[in-house]
Amino acid sequence: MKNLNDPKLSEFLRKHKPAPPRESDNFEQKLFNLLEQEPQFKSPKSANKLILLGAIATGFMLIVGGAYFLKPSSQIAENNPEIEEFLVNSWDGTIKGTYINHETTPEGEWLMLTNYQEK
Amino acid sequence: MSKVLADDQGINEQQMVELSQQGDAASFRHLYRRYQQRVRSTLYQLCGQQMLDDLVQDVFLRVWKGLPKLKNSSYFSTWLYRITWNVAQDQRKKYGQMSQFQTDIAPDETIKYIDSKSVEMPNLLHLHYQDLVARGLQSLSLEQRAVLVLHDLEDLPQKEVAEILNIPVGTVKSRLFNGHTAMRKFLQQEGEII
Repeated sequence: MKNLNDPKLSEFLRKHKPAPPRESDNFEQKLFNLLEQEPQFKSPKSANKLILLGAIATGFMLIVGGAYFLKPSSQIAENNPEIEEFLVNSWDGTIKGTYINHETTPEGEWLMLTNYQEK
Repeated sequence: MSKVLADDQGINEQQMVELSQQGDAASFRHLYRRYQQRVRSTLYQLCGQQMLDDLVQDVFLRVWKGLPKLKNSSYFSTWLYRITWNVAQDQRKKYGQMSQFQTDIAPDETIKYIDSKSVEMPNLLHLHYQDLVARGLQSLSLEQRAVLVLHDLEDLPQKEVAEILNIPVGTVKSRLFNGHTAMRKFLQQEGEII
């Protein structure tokens, strides 16, 4: 296999590496003054915590919201007294003028019916 | 490259990185002093001296801001070189898709007029060779140059070069081979046999 390395040339290049010009005056201080104004990004750990807390809060909201919205409508229950009154009135209206003996037995009702037919 | 070097305060590099991740500017200053020359040199070989201070500043600002995202502090140097490479690439995009920068890497303009055979003083010969290397690097594409700069000039292993440039090791090898071939050809044209 052909040797791809060229150690002699690598050594020559390393030995005669072009030197960069010196940095400008107070470069380091200027850089660190800038750094003080630059906030660091949030660390992954903090970000993960935030994501976890967000997920918990969202889940809680969904459960609470779901329970509220999926609950059967309470509209009928709220109008219950009105409905009861309406039913009672309607019932009374249908039997108004009709004698009802609440103490009669089924046999008595039968006899009453036969008496009526005889008339 | 040694990743755990004790500094003056007896804090190793990983600890300095971890402290810097928590926003400790003093620890970051130690890291800056340790690496700024390498970053500066790499950017100089890749982009030339124009705006060099700005580019170095950009690298260390990005490093400072992004440090909390670095998961493994032992990869700091590789990550730093990668940011350096990204800044160099951004610079190339800014100045158009040129295969070669106007790098103006010439230690001294007068060197161009010195005949290598007549140079006897060692420091002048060294300057002459520096000029040759600089011009040879300029003749390469940025991708080939980056591999030669990181592997040969910065003395990084091929695997690390691959990680920094985000390319396979095989690509590093082939670029290195082609870069060496081109560099040898350039040096031969200049009358230098290595």
